[in-house]
Amino acid sequence: MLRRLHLELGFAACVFLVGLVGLRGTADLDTGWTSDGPQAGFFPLRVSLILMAASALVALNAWRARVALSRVVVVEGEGGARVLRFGLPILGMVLVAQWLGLYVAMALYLLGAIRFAGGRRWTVALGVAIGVTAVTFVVFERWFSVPLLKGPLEVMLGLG
Amino acid sequence: MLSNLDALMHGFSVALTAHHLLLMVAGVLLGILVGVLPGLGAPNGVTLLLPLTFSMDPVSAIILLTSLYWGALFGGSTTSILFNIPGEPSSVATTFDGYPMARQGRASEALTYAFVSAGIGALVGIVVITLLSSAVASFALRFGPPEYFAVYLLAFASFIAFGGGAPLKTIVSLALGFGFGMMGMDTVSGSMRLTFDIPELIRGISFLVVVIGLFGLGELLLTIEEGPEFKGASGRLDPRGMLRALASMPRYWVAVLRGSAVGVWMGITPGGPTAASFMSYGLARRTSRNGVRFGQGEPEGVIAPETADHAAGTSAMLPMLSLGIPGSATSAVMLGGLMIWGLNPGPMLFIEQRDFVWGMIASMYLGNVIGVILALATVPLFAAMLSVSFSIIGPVIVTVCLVGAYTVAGAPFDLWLAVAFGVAGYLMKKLDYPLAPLVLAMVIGDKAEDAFRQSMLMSSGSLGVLWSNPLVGTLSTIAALFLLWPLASALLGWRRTSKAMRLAPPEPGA
Amino acid sequence: MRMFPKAAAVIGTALSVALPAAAQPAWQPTRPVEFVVTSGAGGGTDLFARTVQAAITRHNLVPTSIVVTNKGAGSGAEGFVYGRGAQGDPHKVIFGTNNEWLLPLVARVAWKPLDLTPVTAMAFDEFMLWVKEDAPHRTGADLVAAARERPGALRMGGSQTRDTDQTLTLLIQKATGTRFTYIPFRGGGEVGVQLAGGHIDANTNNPSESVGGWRGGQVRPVCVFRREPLPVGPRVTETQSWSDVPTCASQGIAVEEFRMPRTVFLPPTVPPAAQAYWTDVMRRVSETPEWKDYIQRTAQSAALLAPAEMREMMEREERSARELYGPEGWLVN
Repeated sequence: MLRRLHLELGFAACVFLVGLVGLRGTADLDTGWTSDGPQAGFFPLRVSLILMAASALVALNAWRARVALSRVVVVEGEGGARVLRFGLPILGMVLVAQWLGLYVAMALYLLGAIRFAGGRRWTVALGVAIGVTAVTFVVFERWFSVPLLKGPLEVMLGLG
Repeated sequence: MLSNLDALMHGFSVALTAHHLLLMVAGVLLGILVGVLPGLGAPNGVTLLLPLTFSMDPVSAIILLTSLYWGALFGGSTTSILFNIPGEPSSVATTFDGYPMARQGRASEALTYAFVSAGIGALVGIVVITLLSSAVASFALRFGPPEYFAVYLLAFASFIAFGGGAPLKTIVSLALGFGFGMMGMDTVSGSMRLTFDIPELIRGISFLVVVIGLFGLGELLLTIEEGPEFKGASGRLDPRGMLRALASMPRYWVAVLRGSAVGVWMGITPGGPTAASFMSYGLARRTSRNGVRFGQGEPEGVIAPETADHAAGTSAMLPMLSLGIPGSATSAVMLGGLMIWGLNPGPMLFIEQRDFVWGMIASMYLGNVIGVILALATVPLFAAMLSVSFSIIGPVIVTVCLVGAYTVAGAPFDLWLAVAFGVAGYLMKKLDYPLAPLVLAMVIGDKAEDAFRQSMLMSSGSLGVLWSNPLVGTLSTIAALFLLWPLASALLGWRRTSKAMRLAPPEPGA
Repeated sequence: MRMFPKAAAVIGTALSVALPAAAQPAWQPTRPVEFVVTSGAGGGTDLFARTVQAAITRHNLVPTSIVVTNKGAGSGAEGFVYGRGAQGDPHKVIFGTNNEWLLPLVARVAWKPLDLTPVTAMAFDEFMLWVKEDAPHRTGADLVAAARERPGALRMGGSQTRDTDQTLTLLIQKATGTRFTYIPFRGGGEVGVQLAGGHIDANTNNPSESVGGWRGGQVRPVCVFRREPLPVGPRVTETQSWSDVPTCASQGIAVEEFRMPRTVFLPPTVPPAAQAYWTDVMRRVSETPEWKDYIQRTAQSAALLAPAEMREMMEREERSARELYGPEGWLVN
């Protein structure tokens, strides 16, 4: 169970951090306004500062309304669990894709997500996984000559 | 003008052959396919077909390529409405009301509105090209850096100023968009900005990857949280919805007219279709009687961006042919094609290659009519996809999103980015941060900055250049007024609400 | 899928020496080849690579299929970094200009000029000085005189910053003792339109970037940065052809020659046989009618540098660029 107050504060902190990183990035740029007009770092510096200020104000507002906001539940236990069950496999797919390639990762993800998270029968899961992957391969690699990320398997099969 | 009509008739005699009609149908169908898939866009389709066109005559070649472009513009709206995933950058604004309509079980209706208004917008754009070709070309020449900047500012102001949302959170969203848009190489100084010496960041963060994450993946997470099945989205094929939408189209003639005007304006000036659709949506929300219902599934919120998008897409073909200005990635590829076919874009094209130019313009009329018909024919097909259980279609959409994110730059790193923006999109929706300002800031932020700094180079750092001639002065003044308007009303309104705030804390929630 | 045993490769080499015409090359692609273009779709390098692709496909010069990918972000840095990352993979061919060795001097990027394996330079694109059709300056000398009168008042447009156009502007300034205000845009086409609209006073576009504007009576070339005028060819406008454009040196702008090579590279540490293979493919491309047509239409000068010659050119250009950029404070490495 996640309350609005915590989420507001947490997200504002993330945005503040992004602003801080941006500020760090402008350190080696010229941030002035010379006779050539604004220099490369002029806008990045100001955008970073605005981000930090605005996120601080959002957090301040949230804190001032903390009593009301801590009563609001934004993510319920059951819904949150569903989000995690759906989201974590996506992360897994991206991770697997980095070294086995997008096609293998895709097929594994579809198989897992439809069979286990979705509770469908093996035949359905297998059919969708193989079908979607094959169609993607034909459309992207064959028709449009757009190469997708490939891993050792495709190279072994002579497809990559 | 009359001579233009003559020329157009001649063009029809060139374009109206069975061979060319067949090419149009093929081009439109292929375009719908690439438009629907978020990873593929019209530029992919055009580059795919380019080698095929080397052996064609230039008229057939350009008919094939432009038809594909129209098809892609139509197809891009489909996934925006059904799944909240913009198939093309210019259909982001279509998600704002199109997707809510689909959630209410009015998908067929929303798609019909989108396609028909898009078709009308396109036709208006072509009529303008036909009648005013020479005037438009010389008008486009008057746009230097200060004018470019003023156009971007105007588009920006008309969207932001008339939007709702908490001011602070809108500012956060905008600043994030500007910041992400600045990453990569800076055109004016040539230095790398905010790349932290990470090679993956040299190309900056692609707007498409961000949109796929924020809208596509973020929306999936929200959907799954509500329940294991799509709620409300009715998968039934609903011909009555389509007929109802068709019948009520005439009621929205103001929106169509306004959208077309914005679109033609942004197509001729360098604004482009994406900025046009945002600007049109913003203006419609402000000026329409139904403005308050925008964002909750209001048909006018679908019609406004769609008309503008297509009007801009078609009218941008004119500066491309007569001046060689590529208004979009797609027309840049087409320009390359022109060179390969042995044609040089420029004013002489209209004089020396009458068959080519007017054959193409005539084919634009036909191609868009064919586009509307074929796109409408696909409505039942796509609506049927909604009836597939979410436990199957959900994961499939995820893979489509990630494949799309990868193809933008062919970079594995972008997969991580898409997932990160998916989480961010989910959280921002939860906390009522508006997403549209972020997207708009990314689309026009860096272009506007370039134009601004080029102007400052020209004027040695003086802002006076933004009022240095009547054209740029008018644009800048209108933009400034648009920007000041909500500021003034916010200041007045803030004093009223701050009194109220002391009594009750701001009520969060949708 | 590089499964060629060494012995087979050696035999291959021996055979190809013995039977030069019919033999299998020592190396040839075994899976789809990727052409990496270091410019966006529609850019000059894109047209170059796609012409090569068209010639190869039409004449079946390569046994496998070819995909073209555009990696043009950061003035092409994206593509070169990608090429460098594909270490030892001869199935990736990188197309660029002299930005391969000039960009690392002026921007912080993750490759060194000699990291990539040079294959060949296939053409040199010319530079011309352009003014608006109705500009008061009839000749290069007029323009220089106007710039001398009011230093910094004339605007010179170009694509990108610290790239070829700005380098050439710098050379013109040095040679004539004048000063222009340089305004960078995103590409040559845009610069041409800005000149036609009178928002800038001059630019240094390549012939192909402004040919449409010249024919349409919007802009006109003042001089070409070449030792002698371009060879005689068909008319471009009603009265003139490229060969009628005088050299800039003859107009009092002492920049003898300035041109941009169209280059081809392979990733680092590819086998020499692969380098030889691609050099040979490009040689055969340069003999096709498609290529000759491209050279003629874009008014470039054909060339075919061997890898060693190209390396020598890279080193020479880098040295002179360092001398030029140093005092301007452009160097970052």
